[in-house]
Amino acid sequence: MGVLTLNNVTYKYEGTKKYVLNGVDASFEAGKVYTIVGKSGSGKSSLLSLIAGLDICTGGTILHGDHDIKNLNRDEYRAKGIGVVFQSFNLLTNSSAIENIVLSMNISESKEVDKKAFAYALLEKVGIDRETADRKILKLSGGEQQRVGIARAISHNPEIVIADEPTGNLDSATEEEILNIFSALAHDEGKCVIIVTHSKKVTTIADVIYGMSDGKMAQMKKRD
Amino acid sequence: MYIFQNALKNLVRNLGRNIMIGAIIFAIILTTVITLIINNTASAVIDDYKGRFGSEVYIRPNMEKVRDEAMKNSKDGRVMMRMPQISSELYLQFTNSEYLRESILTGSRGANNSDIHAIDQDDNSEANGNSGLSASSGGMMQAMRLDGGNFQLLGDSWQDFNDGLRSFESGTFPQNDNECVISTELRDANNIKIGDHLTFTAKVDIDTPIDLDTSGLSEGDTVEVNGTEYNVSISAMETVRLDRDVTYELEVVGVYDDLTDEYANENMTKAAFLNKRNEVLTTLPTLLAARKSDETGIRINATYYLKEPDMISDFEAQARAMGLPDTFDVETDAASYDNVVKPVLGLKNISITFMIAVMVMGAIILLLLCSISIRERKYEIGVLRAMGMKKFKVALGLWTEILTITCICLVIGLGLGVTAAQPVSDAILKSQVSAAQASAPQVPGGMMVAGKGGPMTSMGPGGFMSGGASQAQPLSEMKITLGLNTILELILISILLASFAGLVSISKITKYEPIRILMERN
Repeated sequence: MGVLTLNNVTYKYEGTKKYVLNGVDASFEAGKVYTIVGKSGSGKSSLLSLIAGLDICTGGTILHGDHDIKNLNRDEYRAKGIGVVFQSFNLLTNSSAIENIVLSMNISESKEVDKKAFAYALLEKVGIDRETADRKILKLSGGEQQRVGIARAISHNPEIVIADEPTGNLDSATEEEILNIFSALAHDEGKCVIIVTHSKKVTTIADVIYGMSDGKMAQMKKRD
Repeated sequence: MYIFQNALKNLVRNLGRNIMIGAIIFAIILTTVITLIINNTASAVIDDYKGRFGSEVYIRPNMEKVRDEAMKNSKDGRVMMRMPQISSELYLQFTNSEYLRESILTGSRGANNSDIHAIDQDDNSEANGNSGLSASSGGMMQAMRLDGGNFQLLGDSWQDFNDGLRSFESGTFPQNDNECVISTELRDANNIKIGDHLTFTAKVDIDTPIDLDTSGLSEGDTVEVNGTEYNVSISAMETVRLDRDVTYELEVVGVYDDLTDEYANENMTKAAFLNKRNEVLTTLPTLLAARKSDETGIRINATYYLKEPDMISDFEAQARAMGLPDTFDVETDAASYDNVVKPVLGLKNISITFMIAVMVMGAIILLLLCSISIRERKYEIGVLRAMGMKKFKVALGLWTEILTITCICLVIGLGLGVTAAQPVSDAILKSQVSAAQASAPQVPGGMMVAGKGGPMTSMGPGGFMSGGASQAQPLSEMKITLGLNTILELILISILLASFAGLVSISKITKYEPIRILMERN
């Protein structure tokens, strides 16, 4: 069984009749990079919100291990079970990079004794040096913010890391570096990495590619 | 713990916004501090004055009722007003009232002693056993020692010792009944030593029984009433009086130095019975022991203090039931109370009104400001919630921020408020005193009254029909103090204020799901 399983997942926005997701089935395993591709409005971001525990599906189930996340404490699930990298980073802009990471570790009740040292090490791992780590988020470049976002997503060592258009705002050199980080997370650290993207370049690191269209999802390619 | 740390860091991160919120909270707290301090001090002053003026009972004859009574009983058109009396027994009975917090009873009785010579004693006069009356030129009765004798036997009258006007030269206060204390002048004039026994004689009276046939009685006759023999005396107006002699055998146990003036008024005629050096101090039970319960002649000074000022009606009803005649009014010193308390009450009312107005206005402004502030921080809340922070923890963080701002404002506000409260209070009180003085009714002047030569009833320290303490001056200065209660009230108000502001945050947080906030933002 995968770390995350979607069974006939449907979703529609409150007050609307049209289903954004219409019977999505998928299984995600640890140690692999998954990309979900599709046009704008195909339901990619909605699916990501459901997987991230930010929203609840209208029908079907999303299983984290054996547990339907509908029945889990979703705050707890978001804090400990999953790491999310947002397209627009969603960092606390008036705090420093290091403060963002430490706060995330505190929310997830991390057992690290020296959280600050751990956070510095983590930021260094994603290419943020100590000086940059102490700067306010607003004073960082888009690539640096995305690296901080990734560091935050993995700061509590979740099984699943999901990313919404993680390279959408980045130049190609930075994109390359970011993709390497995601690849290493899956292939070296055994995490299940799910990336929602419309970038073909991102799919190059994918082990499995899902395509989305009109609320339905289908596997497109699987790397051997 | 990290919630609090993060909240404190946020105070600095959002400095401009927090300074704005802090300024509003500071204004509210400063006003609250000033008004609350003034209000609580004013309340304490009012309570104090209530205790001092409002709870002291005055039992005074109502001269209008006395006149009406006299006119009703007149058969030939001539009106003879007779000062109504309260028997000493009744005064003692009043002390048993459950409505009284305290009763202070003293007694006095004119007496003679043939073995010793009183200061200023005129052996040629008819002072012995005669009545006397002294009145000042102002028309106010100063002394009414109408009960005869060169000496005054005073029971439990130790106030001059408490006031430092009298002190012991030798000996002590009477420890037992039938002991007395005399002045150094009286001792020196008569070579009296401690341990000597002095024998005083005095008269006690009884009301002429209604069923006693007085038609055949003449001066010097004796009649028996309730098993006791009384001498008959007939006044110029042909009123029959019955009295008898009683004896006090007192042992001298102390001698006092007296700093008081010998005479209450320098215009007074010098007479032994008015000279304070002839006062012989003993216990009230000693003084009362010689008389029977239905006899009068021992003048009682009674001061009663109610437990609560509003118990006056209950006390009056009880006193009436015990036998207090309708010709007496029972009242508290309402005029003094109003005179002193009204400006303070005005000050208190102004401060409360101002405090309520500022709190309501401040709360509305704070509500708006917090609402705007939370809208600005909506994104931050969305991020925290997306990271998995629970709603109550987000709310706790925001509440901690506002509470910290409030605490800082409270400390500064307390310091400034205490400093500002005194001048603010002085300014308001000044205007209130002027207003109270302008609207104060004129205090009626004294009234000359004369009674028969027998026993008298005397009321509170205000004096007999003198207007008493109603001449009390309004409070011109109120010393502002910051008590523990005030501090606790301020802390409570501050916490409520912070919580009220925090409610806005909490209601917003519970309203939005993180996905909605982030979607709106993105």
